[in-house]
Amino acid sequence: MMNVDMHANRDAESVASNMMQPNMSGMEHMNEHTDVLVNVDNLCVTIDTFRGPLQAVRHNSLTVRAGEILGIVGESGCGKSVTANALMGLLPLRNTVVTADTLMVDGHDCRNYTESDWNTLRSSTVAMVFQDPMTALNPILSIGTQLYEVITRTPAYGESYDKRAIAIDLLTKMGISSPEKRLKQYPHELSGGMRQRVVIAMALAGKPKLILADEPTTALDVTTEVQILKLLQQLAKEEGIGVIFISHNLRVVAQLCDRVMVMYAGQCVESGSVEDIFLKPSHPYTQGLLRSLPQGKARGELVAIEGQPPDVYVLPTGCAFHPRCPDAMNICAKEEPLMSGQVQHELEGDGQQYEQQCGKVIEQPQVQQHVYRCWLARKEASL
Amino acid sequence: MGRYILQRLGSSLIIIWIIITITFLLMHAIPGGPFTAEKKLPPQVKASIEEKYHLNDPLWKQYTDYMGRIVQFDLGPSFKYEGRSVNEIIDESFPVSAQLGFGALLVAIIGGITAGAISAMRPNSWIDYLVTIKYTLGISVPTFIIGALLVYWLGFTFHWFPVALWKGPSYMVLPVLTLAAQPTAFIARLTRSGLLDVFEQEYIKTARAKGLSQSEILLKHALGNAILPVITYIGPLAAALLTGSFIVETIFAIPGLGQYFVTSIYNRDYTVILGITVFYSALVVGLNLVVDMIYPMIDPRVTMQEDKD
Repeated sequence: MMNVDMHANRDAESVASNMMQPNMSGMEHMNEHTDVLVNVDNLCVTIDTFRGPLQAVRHNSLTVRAGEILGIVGESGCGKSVTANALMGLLPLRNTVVTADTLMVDGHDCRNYTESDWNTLRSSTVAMVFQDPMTALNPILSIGTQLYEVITRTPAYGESYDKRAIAIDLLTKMGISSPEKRLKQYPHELSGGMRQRVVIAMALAGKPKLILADEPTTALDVTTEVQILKLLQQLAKEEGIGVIFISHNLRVVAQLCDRVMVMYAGQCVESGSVEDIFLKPSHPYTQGLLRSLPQGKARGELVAIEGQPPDVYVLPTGCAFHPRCPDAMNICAKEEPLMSGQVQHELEGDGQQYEQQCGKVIEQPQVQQHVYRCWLARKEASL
Repeated sequence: MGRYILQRLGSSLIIIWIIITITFLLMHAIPGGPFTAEKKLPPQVKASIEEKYHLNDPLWKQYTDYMGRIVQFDLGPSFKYEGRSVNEIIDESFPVSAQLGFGALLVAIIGGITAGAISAMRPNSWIDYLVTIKYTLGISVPTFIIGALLVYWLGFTFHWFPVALWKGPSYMVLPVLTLAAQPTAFIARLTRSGLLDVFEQEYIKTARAKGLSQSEILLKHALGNAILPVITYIGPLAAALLTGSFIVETIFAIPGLGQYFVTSIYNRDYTVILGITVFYSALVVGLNLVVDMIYPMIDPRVTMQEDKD
C-alpha cells in the first residue's frame, strides 16, 4: 500500500527530460533530488480575528526537495492550509502576521515579501492546486482565457510561443478529451474531474518547481481521485516537481507521499518518511490517527481519538494534545515538548540554546529525519 | 436566439396591453374629467366638447377606439394643449429628456462603478468611508435638495455653470449631476457589496496564485462577476432616467417629458396620461429585453432559452 517505487523513476525521468525541460540545474542530479525547494523554519502565522489573535501556525518547520512529495495531514483547522498558503503569500494581507526564521522558496528569502514580490514567484515557481474545482475557476471566463493568463506571463516560454498550442498540449497531458473544444468552454460546462484537471493544468502552465496541492481530490469521486493522484506522482517523479500534498486522507498520503508531516493545533507533531510515520508512528496523536483507520479485513469498531480538537484561541498549556492523550504525564500539561532531534542535542550537552527557543527545529537535517514532538521521546532518550 | 427574442417581444406586447388597460380604468375611476373646472361650463358647451372628444361614448367604446388608434401608433390629440397631438408632445420633449437621462445614466454607471470599486478595494479605509458617506447622502437626500445645493454652489457662488434652461452642453451639467446623484449612489453600493462578495470567492485566490496584479484581478476576474446585479438595476433605471424626472426638469426649467407627464395627471389629460404611460412602459419593457440580452454576454452560465413544452 505504501510502496513508493523508487526504481521506476530513472526510466521515467529520461522520458520526462524529452517532454519538458524541468527548471533545474544539472539533469545528472535528478535521481538524487537534492535541490531544496522549500526551507521553512519556525514559521508562525497569527490571524487577527474578531475573537482575538489566533495562532494558526506555531513554530512550524519543513523542507521540500525537488521531486519529493511531502504530505501534510491533520484535522480540519490544524493549520495545514495556512502553512501552504504562507509559502506563496496567499494569506489575507489585512489581518495576518507571518513570521519565520527562514522562509526560503527556491532560493528566495521570502520573509517580508510584498504582494508584488510574491507575484514574481507565483505560478512560475510555486503554483497551487485548490481543493474545490467547482469554485476555483472563474465562472465567467473560458477555460482558454484562464489558461492563457498563466502561459502569457511565464518567462520560461520565451519570446515567441503559441499559447493555444501550449494550452492544448497541457490539457492533453492532463488526459482531457478534445482539448481544442474545451478551450472555448466555460467551467460550468465541464464535469468536476475535468475541472480539477484544468485547475492542475493551470498550475502546471507556469512551469512551477513546486506545487501546493490543497486537498486536490476531496471534491472528487474515487475513480477520478486515483487518476489525479497518479498524475501528481508522475509530475514529481518524472519532472522533478516538488509537491506539498495536503490531505486528511491517510490512505492517499500513504500511497502518494515520500515524507509525511502530521500537524496538530498549528504545530508539526511528527515528521518523517512515509514508512516511519505509518510503520513506526511515535507521537500518540499519530498513533491514534492510524488506529482510527479500518484495518484490512478485520471487522470491529474503529478506535477514535477521545475528545475534540482544542479551542484554537485558548490552547491547552504544555503539549496541546495532552488533554486527549492516552499517555499523558504530569509534565505534558506544564511544558511544551521539543522535537525529538533537539532532545538528543540537549541531552548531549548543548541544550541551553535549544531550551531558549522552545519548540523549534534548529538544523535542517533533523526535519528530514523521523522526529516527533512529545515528552515520551525524552523519556525514551534518557532511558 | 431569434426565436427567443420573438417570444419576448410577444410577451412584451401583452404586458403593454395590460398596462394600457389598467391605466385606462384607473384614469376613468378618478372623479372629474379633462373639462371639469371650477367655473362651471354651460351644459351645452360641455356636451359639445365631450361630443368632439368622444367622451360621452360608453367607456368600452372609448377603450376600443383608443386601442384601435394605438395599434397605428396614434396616441390621439391632447385635451388641454389645443391643436397638439400626444405624438407631437413626445416627439418634442422626449429628446430633451433623453439627453438629460442619457447623460445622467453615463455618469451614474461610470461614477457608481468606479466609486464602488475603489471602496471595495480598500474596505474600511478613509476612502471607503468617504464613498459610503457620499452614497448614504446620495440615497437619503431628496433630489430637489441636491439640485438646489448644486445650483447654489456651482451656479450662484462660483458661476461655473448656468443654473437653468436648456440651451447647450454647459446647461446640462447641473441637471445631469442632480439626476445622477441617487443612481450613482445606488450603483456604487451594489458594486461595492458585489465586489466584496466576489473577493471572498475561491477563484479570486486562484487569480492571486497565478500572480496577477490587483488591477488585473479587479478588472478581469472580479468586476464581471460583481456587476450582474448592477446590470439588472440599469434596465429600469435607464427607462426612468430617459423619460425624465419631473423634479429635475422643474428645478432647472427644462422642457422635458417628465413635466408633461405630471401636469397631464392634474389636468386629467386622458390621452397624454395614456400616451406617455404607453411610451414609458414600452421603453421599460424594451430596455429590460436589452438587459436580458446583455446578461449572457457577461455571464456564460445564463443562456437564452426558448420555452420548452
